[in-house]
Order: sequence, then C-alpha cells, then structure tokens
Amino acid sequence: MKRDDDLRRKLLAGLAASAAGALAGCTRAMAAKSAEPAPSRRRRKWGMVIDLDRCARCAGCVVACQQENNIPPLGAQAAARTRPIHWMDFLPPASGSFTATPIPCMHCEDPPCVKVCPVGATYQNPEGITAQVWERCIGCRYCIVACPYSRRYFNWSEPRWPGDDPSSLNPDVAPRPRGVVEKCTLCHHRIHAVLEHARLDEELLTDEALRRLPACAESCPTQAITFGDLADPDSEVARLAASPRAVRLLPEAGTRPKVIYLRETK
Amino acid sequence: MKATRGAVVLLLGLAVLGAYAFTQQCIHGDAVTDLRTIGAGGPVWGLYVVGDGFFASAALASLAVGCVIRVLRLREIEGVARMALPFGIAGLVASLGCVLADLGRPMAALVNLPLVGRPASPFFGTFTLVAGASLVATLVHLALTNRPGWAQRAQAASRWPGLWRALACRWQDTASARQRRERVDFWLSLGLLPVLLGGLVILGVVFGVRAGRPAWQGRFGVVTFVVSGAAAGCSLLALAVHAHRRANLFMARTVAVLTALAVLLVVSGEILALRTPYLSVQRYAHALLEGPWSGLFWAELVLFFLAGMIALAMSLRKTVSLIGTATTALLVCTAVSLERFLLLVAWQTHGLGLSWPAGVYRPTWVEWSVLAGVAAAAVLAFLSIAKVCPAGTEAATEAGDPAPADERRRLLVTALCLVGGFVLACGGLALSAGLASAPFLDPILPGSPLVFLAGLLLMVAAALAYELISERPR
Amino acid sequence: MSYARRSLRTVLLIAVVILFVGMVGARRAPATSPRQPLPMSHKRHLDKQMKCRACHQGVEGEAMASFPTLADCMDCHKTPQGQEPAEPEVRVFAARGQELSWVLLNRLPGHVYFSHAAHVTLGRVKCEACHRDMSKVDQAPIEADVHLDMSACVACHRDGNASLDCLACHK
Repeated sequence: MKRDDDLRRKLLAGLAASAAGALAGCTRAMAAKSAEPAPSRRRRKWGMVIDLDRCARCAGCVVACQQENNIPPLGAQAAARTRPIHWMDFLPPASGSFTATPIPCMHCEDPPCVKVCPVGATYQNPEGITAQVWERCIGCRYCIVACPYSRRYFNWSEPRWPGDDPSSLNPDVAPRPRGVVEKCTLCHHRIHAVLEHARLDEELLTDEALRRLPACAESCPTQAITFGDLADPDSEVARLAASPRAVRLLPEAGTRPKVIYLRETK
Repeated sequence: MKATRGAVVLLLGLAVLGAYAFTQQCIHGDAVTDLRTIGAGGPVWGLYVVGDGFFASAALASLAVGCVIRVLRLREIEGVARMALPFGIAGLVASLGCVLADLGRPMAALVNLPLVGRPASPFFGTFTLVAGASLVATLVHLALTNRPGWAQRAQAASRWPGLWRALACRWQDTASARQRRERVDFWLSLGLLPVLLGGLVILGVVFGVRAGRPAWQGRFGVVTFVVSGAAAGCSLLALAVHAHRRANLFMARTVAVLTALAVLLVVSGEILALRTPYLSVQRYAHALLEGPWSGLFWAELVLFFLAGMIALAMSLRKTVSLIGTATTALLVCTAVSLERFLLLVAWQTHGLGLSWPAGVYRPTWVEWSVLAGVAAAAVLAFLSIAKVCPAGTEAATEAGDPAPADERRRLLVTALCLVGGFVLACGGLALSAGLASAPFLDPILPGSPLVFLAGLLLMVAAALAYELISERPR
Repeated sequence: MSYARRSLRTVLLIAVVILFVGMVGARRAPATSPRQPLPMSHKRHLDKQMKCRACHQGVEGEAMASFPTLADCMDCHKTPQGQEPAEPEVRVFAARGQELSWVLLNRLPGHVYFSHAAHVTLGRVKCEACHRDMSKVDQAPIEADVHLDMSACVACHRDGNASLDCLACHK
C-alpha cells in the first residue's frame, strides 16, 4: 500500500514536472552546469588489490561481506534452487589458471552493466564505484546478463532473516527487497563514514585509514586484500597495482577492472 | 478465418491459466520460476525473454513485410499486407506481456521507464520503438485501412450499424478520398519501415551481443536473429493469407528462402564458434553440438530443414495446400523458438567468461503457463481484430461527387503534426539521453521519454489528420 | 424510469461519495496520534534565546540530532522556570527516575542515508531549510514536520553545490 502510494506520487510528480515545461528544466540544468566549480582536488579512484599468493582461501571475506551488507543467509529453498547471493564469492577451482579466487565486483572503468540499464538504476559514481540504486531498479536483469564476471545478483524472493528478526541488521546498509538486483559497493557506507569524520574533525584522510576499510579486507587474516585510492601514486594500493605480479581478470572483455590480482606467474 | 467455438474456449482457458500462474508469481516472487543465480547454476533470463524475442520479432518482421508490399504497391498480394496488421498488433501485445512477466518489479517499471528511461539501453530502445511507436502506428494504420470496409458494413450489416459508422469516420467513397488513402498508405508504410527494422535489429542486439562474447559472434547472432524472426513471421502470415492464391505462393517462396538462410547462418555460426580461440565460446559450441543442449540444437536444424523442404516443394509445384502451410508454420515457429532459446539460455549456462560451473534450466509450470497464456491471448486478439476488420473492399459502391475539400487547413494541420512531432521526438530523445547532465544520473527532464513517445505519436497522428480533416461536411 | 430504480441510483451515489470521503479522510488522519511524554513548548524555549543544539545535541557532530535526556532537562529545570502550569511535570519524571521516552516523528525511508552533522556543520544548512519554524510551535509536536521528496533534496544539493552522486544519500 505504502509503496503504491510512493509510486503514484512519483508518477504525479513526474507528470507535473513535465507539464511545467521543458524550458524550465533546460534553463535550470544549464544554470547548474555553469555554476559547477572546477574540481579543485584530484578525483579519487577507489580500487582493490587481492594478493593470491597471500590468500589462504579461508573464505573469511565471504562471510564478513554477508554480515556487513545484510545479505540474507541462504535458506534451504534457495540452496536447493541454487539462488545464493554472494557479493564476495570464490571462483571455483577449475581448469582455468585462476583457481579458488576471491572475486568481488570488479568495479570496471568501462562497466558493461551500466550501459545496458534501461532506467539508470546502476551507474559509475565519480570515485569509480559501480553502484546500484535498487530503489529505481525494475528487475529486468539485463545488467546480470551483461556482466562478464557474473558479479550481480537478483533477489528471487523476499529476504528472510533468522527468526524473522531484522534488528540484527547493519543499520548503514539498506536491505534489498524482492525483485531488484544488488551488488558489491566496495563497502561504500564505510568510505562515506570515514570521509565524513575526517571532514568533521578537519583531518586529512591517510592511506593507512583506508587500506583495510571494506569488510572483506578488514576480515582477511593474511592481509591479502588492500583497498585504497588508485589515483594517489603514494597509496599502498597503487603501489601494489603497479607490481609486475599484477593481473586482471578477462582483459579481453575490455572492461579495465579496478580490482587487481597479484600472482606469481608460473 | 473462422475459429470453432471449442478452439475459442480452449484459448480462453489457456489465458485464464496464464493469468492464474502470473498471480502466483506476483505473490511468491520469481522464486516460482526455475531461473537462478547466474554462475551458480542457472540462467537469469529464461522462457519469458525467449517468448518476447519470438513474438516481437515475428510481429515486427511481418509488419515490415506488409509495409514493403504497400510501398512497392504489389496489388496481387495485398492480402498479405492487410493480414499483417492484426497479426503484428497481436504479436506486439504478446511480447509486451512477456516482458512484463519477466520483470522483477513490473509496477516500478511502468513508472520508471516513462520517467527516467535511457535511450542508450537497448532495452529502452525495444520498449519505446517496439511497444510505443510500432503498436500505435500500426493501430492507426489498421483503422485507416479499414475505413472503407467499415463504411460498407455500416450500410449492409444488420447488427451494430452505429459501431461501424463510428469506426468508418465519415468515409466517403470519392475519387479524392481514395487518392488520399493511397497516398497515406504509401507514406505511412515508408515511415514505419525503418522503425520496424530498427526494432528488429535492436532486439537482435539484446539477444545476440553478450558480455564476453567476441564482437563478430554477437553480430552473427544479430543477423541470425533477424533472419529467423522474419522466417517465423512470414510462415505465420502465410497461414493467415492462405485463402489468397497468389499471396500464398509468394509467401511459400519467401519462407523457403528465409529458412534456407537460417539453416546456413546457424550452421556456419556453430562452425565458427567451434574454431574460435575463446574458451567460453568453445564451451558454448560444444554444449550445443554434443552437450546437454545438443538435443534442442539438432532438433532446431532438422525442423528448419524440414520446413524449408516443404515450402520449397510447394513453391516448385505451384500448389499450396493448407496442411503444408500449417505444417511449415508450426515447424518454423518451433525451430525459431529453439533458436532463441539456445541463443539466450544456453549462453548463460555454458558460455560464461569465467570458469563457473555449468548450469541447468527446466522451466516450471508457472513459466510454461504464463507463456501459453500470453500466446493464447495473442491468438484471441488476432482473431477478434480479424473479425472486426472486413476481409476485402474490392467492390466500390458509388462514386459520389467530390466534396469541396478544405485543402489548406488539411495540409496545415498535417504539416504541424509532422513538424511538431519531429521536434518533440528529437527533444525528448536528447533530454532523456541526459545531455549536459553528466554528474547526475537522471534525464534533465523527468518524463522526457514520454515526450519522445508523444512526438512519435504526433507524427503518426499526421496521417490521421491528413485523411480525416477534409471530409467533415461543411 | 421507476421510482425504485431512481432511489437505488441515489443510494449508490451516496455510498460512492461516503466511500470516497472515507478513503480521503483515512489517508489524512494519522493512525494513532503519538503522545510525547511532556507537553513541552518549543516556542517558550526559543523565546528564551535557547539554541536548537542545546537540547538536540547530536545535530552538529552526528547523523542523528538526538533528543534531550532527562539529565539535559534537569540542567535547567532543577529549579522552577516560569509560571507554566505543566512545567513541574519534568520534575515528576526526575523524582521517579524515569527517562523521557520522546517519540521520533521524522523518519526517513530505509534506503536513505542522512547526516545532520554533514548538513549543519559541513554544509551550513539552517534547521529551517527542512524543519518548520519551531519558535511558533507552542505544543509538543505530534506529527512529522519534514516532508521532503527526492526532488527537494536534489534541488538543494544543486543550489548548494553539494554532491549529486546517488551514493551520497542512497545506501
């Protein structure tokens, strides 16, 4: 009922806005464009490095991600139907050269999923995160089909929490309803919190504060996962990404991932 | 075309079953389907999208064939063009039904697509072009084409003369009116042709170009999709126009050529896929050739081959039988559905870029029922539209004296509609493309996709204005 | 037309009107009007030149603006303040040692992230930009006073050169 009201209000608001005239919209948009300041600071570009030679394949990152991001535990029905949601997953051991690899969203610089979304529910944010605004998602699953890494998940049914108790959820991450697509956000809520506190305390954000920021990186016992600003040449993550051991998944897809793997070539 | 009462009851039953299955899906979510998480055992797009691809491509292809016939003024096979209109409308409605059944949040889609739809997405392209423009333009086309027939029926029919008179919109069988009719027919068909073909190609892109698939193979998929869609549309049209002798021979020849092309494309696509260096493409090709999907793949080839042979035999002997045409249509449609299925679903289970385990897909009763319901509703829609539209209007009644036409007003309104529609459509497209709003996700003007659609509709309305205005009695 | 049919039509018409009015009324009326523990008046506090942050202490440094605790009230109300007949009620709570259970009225949708600190301290947004002028409110609030939709948020973010990134607010 509530959602219906919201939808109706949105539709009416949209119609009213259209009726208000294209002219008003155009002028306002142009004014906004001219008023935009030149970026005084270099844009950040969040990225991640996963060192496969350090990784112990303990899957702690998978569990940490589930906990942090309010991903409902896999029920018996979903398990039987193989409908899991794992923003951070393990590529199964196979004949390929990448065996048992932890694989989050690659946060491509040229993400195919963003291009195909019919309603702009997924987009690349200015700091390089491929984000999903599930409130706008219509559940067409085109992005899932378009992703070469299969790193997007659809909510096949309403999420259920153990004992139907949602009070144990992380309040910083909104649980997703049935019928929408969801994905890894690089723990954007944590980045958000760190940035806001740094600004409130008028401190500079150091690379040390960022390195283990996402839940997966924080939980990793061998510190195989490093997070940070790829555009900052002094950051740990940029230093590792420049290593001769650095490789990217499916380079032939032309997506230019910002999640980079380190591996000794044999 | 006459449908027996039993057939109608069966179709109605199927439609009700489909509606019931869809309510089950609405209540329990998409968990009632057999779609699964991709990479963890299944495809995320299944029967519904296959159905969309089939219905929409068949409808668009047959409408395009009809338009070509009108543009070239092929009088002998005009019956094909006439039948293409109700057929296309039914097919487009069915494809819309399939898409809505597939969406996770159909209500959100009905709000968000008109408000913030992105033309950059092929999905939006299919939605506006296919759903909006083609459907409404075809409805206008249908109404204008049938006015003379309805005017006749208003005089002759004993039941509902008022309805026929209203539908006929003061049709006067004068020389100038007929001239206008032909002119509008030509220009509307010519204008619609690129829209229809564009829609077909965009659908092919949605199906063919897949992430991780090399570009040449995606393009191959698009061509195969378009050709086989044309084969399906033509085979069904052939069935619909079987009564016209000249038309059915033409259609049999067309179907023979198209199925031969489809077989050629499918086989060469498979051979090329087997020979590429890409691991994922090879996995996919082997899954078709000898893996879990091999049964469907070989069935597709055999069905295409058989259908082509029957159509070829009929066109060589120059006698077209109803049974032959019906068999061809059945075989081609099944083969094309299989082609869509393998192009879409097999790719998700066996052709992923990373080494995920292979998936399976066994559609549940809900998916089959919804698809059957949509198909039944489409057939019912076709039958009822065909019943409302008169079969032919060869007999001219009386050539009344030419009414004094208000030429200037007619031309002015038509031109205004065309220009205004064009401006609105371009403006809407530019605004919804998000020009000059780079940092923000939204179109500059919420609802600009609606403006685009309104522009297209206004352009179509120019045809209405051109034909209807001058005939007002003064 | 017979009398019976006419009267039936009238009855139907009345029924429809009643249904319509009822539906509209049901949407307008709050399901249950929440009661605040004290009949406190924002007007009287603000008339004494108090600042919002004196009671809503989280507003400058935290996401939630927070409600005053009993201890915060008792900083001033330990001794009687003014002649308001309801004023001693707060000391009744204090005598019982019962914490004040203020009712939170302004709630955001679950998918929205909003920080008072970011808006008030970093963005220098006035309280009145979203909330009503509390210096005119003489009663304890019983209904939400912030009615923002996304377009209002976006308009202000545009004007103030704040982030237009979806992730700035959507979580």
